[in-house]
Amino acid sequence: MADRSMPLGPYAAVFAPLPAEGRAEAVRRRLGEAIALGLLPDGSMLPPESDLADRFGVATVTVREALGTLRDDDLIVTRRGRGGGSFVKAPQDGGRAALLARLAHVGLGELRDLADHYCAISGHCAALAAERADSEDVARLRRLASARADLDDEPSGIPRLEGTFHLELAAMAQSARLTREEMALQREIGPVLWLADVELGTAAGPAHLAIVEAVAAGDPGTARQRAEDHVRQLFDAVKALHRLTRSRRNE
Amino acid sequence: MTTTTTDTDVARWVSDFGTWVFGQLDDLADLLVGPLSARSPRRADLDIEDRCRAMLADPQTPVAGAGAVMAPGTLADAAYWLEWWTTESRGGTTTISKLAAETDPRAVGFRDYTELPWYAKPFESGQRHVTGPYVDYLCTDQYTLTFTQPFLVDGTFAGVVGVDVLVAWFEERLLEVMDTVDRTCVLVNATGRVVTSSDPTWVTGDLLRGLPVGAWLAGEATPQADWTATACTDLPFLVLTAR
Repeated sequence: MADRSMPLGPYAAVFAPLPAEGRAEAVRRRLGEAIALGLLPDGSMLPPESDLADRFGVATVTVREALGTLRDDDLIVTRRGRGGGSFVKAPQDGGRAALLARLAHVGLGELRDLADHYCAISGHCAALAAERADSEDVARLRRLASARADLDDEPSGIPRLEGTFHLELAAMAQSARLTREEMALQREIGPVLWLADVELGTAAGPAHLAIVEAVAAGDPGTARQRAEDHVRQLFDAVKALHRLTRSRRNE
Repeated sequence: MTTTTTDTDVARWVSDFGTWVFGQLDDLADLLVGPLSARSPRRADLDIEDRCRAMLADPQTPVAGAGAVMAPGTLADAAYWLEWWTTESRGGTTTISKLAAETDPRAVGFRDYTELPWYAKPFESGQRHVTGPYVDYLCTDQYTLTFTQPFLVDGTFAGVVGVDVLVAWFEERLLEVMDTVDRTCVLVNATGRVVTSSDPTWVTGDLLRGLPVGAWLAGEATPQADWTATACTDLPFLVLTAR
């Protein structure tokens, strides 16, 4: 069978094969969480039922059953006929409630550990990119950062651009290993970081542009510093959200 | 009799490799012209699977990916389409599989390939193009060189045909040639990025800044303090030898 997960990049984990038990429920939970967390952009089309069945390693009828439940939960809409398919219907709050619920079960120590890991990867990628990016790389990265800065008023587009920016930065380090590590980290904590990014509002756009300028100037030290500061700022926002969920629980 | 390998021999090896690759791409493009000349061609009409599989299966060839990428609107039944096969090595066995990239612009995971250099450059210039070395995070997940060239149907750009070559394979073969040259020898691309180097001071992926790479590729004899450059025929690569 063809490995269909690869070209999905940062979304691959959403569509990875499932364990054997309770498969319809497992499909519903995997897709439902991804939609509720805002990982799958609002209005985007899910792959056809037969494709989903292939990817998850389940029968088409199982996928159909799961999609039915998601439709009942108002997480997807299905249109029939030409140009039809199942489309993501993101929650009104962009996934904030679902993410906060999940965040309440994560310890602060674990969050710090993730922040340290992501800081190490992002910082080093930025430093290497400053040494190794050529002028075309810089132009591509600048286009992504500008698009991100223009999106501050429209939070729904942020996850994809935030993820792509960091992925491109890793690729510009010319390291296949660091790029794969960046992808793995995005799968693990992408939604949390992107929510934090939305919470930060206008702060993250300029942070990306500042990283681009350091990369363009060929200044590894500054690029590393700015990337690390950017990640720390994201995790500070996550920690603030975490505190919020704890205080709510104690009320 | 002793024979001495020189920078010219290195450049010739690289040129010969390019000639071989682009010859393969000419053949691939020829296979597409017939089906695409018909009215309203469809995905199923693109009869290049056997050819691509043969290329990928041949142990003597370094090809990790091969196929064709359609210009939007060329096919009647898909706006965007990649007809592409890749190899994947796992536990000592190599499998060939069709790349199932997301090609519906509305779908999750869709990436508009017309923005990516291996498509955009041949589209803009009408010329052959070598992308990389670069980390190909959409397909091979490896450090890759992608060779692409445009193909025309009735004089109209209809897409690109291409192959992926893993940099590790290319480097291993080229080093065998470079190691017989008595001076430090570095192959760089058109942006000055190191493809292969016989001296560990410069490593694949490093950028050599401040060299008149553009002028050298244009055939100008611009002198430089540290390096002499030899162009590779029909490829945007230069063999640099330390003075």
